[in-house]
Amino acid sequence: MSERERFDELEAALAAVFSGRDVPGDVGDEPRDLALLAGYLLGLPREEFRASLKADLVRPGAPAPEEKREPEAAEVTPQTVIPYVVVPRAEQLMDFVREAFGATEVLRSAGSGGFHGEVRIGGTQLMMGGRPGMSWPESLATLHLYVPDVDATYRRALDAGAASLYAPADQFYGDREAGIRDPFGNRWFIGTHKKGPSHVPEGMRSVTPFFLLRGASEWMELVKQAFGAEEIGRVGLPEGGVRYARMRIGDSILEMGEAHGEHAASTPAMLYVIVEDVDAAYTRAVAGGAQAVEAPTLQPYGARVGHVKDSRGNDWYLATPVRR
Amino acid sequence: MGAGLASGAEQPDERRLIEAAQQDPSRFAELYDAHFHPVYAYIARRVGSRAEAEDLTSEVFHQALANLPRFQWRGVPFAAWLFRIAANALADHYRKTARDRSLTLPDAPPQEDAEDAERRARLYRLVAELPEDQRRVLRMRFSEEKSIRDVAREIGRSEGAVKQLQFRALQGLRARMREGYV
Repeated sequence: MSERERFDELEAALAAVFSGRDVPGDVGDEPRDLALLAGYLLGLPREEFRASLKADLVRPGAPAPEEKREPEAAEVTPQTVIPYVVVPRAEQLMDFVREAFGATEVLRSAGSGGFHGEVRIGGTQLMMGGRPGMSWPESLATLHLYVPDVDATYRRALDAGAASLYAPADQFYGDREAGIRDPFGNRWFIGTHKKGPSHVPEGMRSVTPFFLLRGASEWMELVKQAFGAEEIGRVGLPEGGVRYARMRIGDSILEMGEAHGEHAASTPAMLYVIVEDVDAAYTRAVAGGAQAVEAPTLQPYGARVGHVKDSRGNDWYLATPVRR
Repeated sequence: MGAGLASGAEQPDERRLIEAAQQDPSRFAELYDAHFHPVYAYIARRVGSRAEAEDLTSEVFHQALANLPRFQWRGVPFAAWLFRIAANALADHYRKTARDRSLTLPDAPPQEDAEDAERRARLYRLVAELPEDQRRVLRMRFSEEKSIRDVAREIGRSEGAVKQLQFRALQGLRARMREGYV
């Protein structure tokens, strides 16, 4: 009997197994054996299910099922890139941003897996999660915040426990700006734009993730290739490198520049990125040089999410919300 | 590894895993990885559809995580505790769906049921060790219930090539089972 005939014979025997019938008597010994073994595989679980249940059970900040609360649809406006800060005292961080920056709470949820919270600052979404004694690493952020009155916000931040990095001062680029480190380790550059109709410069949001890097240019290339970012401005340094640059992903801006002196390099951050087609976005990210961490799976909070890391250890969660 | 369900060989490790997960729920992942396949296999054999098997498996692990702080180590394997939760969940499910109102299930599955679930689980784990192309074909055929034609179209190979991969994959699994590898 040719190999091809044996393959066909197995297929005939499998058809019987699939439909719950006995394997026909004229099937040879080997295909029969294999078909019987295959009968045990009829209950083979879907990998996607196994992975998504696991993610559901151990997701940092995952609320216990009975405490789960989804934000109202009307509370959420589109935003491509949402910074996600992971710290053990995430709930206190939420109190801090409310007190210091007047953040509005969108979601506050505490369950056995930890805390997950979402706020808006001046209309821009920011997420945070974690729990005391958590075993997963922190993800701190460097964030550029625009407020109506930088001096007042700076004072409120210090009153709420932040440390000053630099006091408010007028900058040549038209902002009055201060720097603080919040009690949880995040760095905030706080500015008020003075040369326009709004305290937020045109094209910017109230909160923008900022990356201070050594070799920013190389990282920018990766972000372009992997995440389809578009460079919209760059100021070079005389000795080479990037003094300051902006890139756009969807409707959101990322800012970046060379780490130097008192502006130390950012520690790895976490970004939650809304994409139209997570499978395509994940494939492009990995092809573009990002490191695959977890292929897209459906998450119980209503999104299909894939996870990759860039060359600097930043975590990118690519997510496509699923309508339910 | 060859350890049966009630083997004591792994208990000290298991105890450490349970205590770690009681302190920090994110460590539940390790218990989940160790027990997902037998629990799923046990449930899948007893319900009519994949959707029911997934719902009930999910319920069992969520219940286990929620009740973990109350789990007390008395030398009873964690698997036995999970199977008891699974048996209860199945009984509830049968009652709700009224598939068989007269059915009564024991508190915990008989040993042979648990051993059958372990055997199936070992087979599922071996699937994960097959070469990528063979594994993919088996998953598409048995997890996703796709026809040879659909698999061929999806992976861009001929139907003959898919049949060959399927044949080789099953041969490989049979050899590993016979080797006494597990």
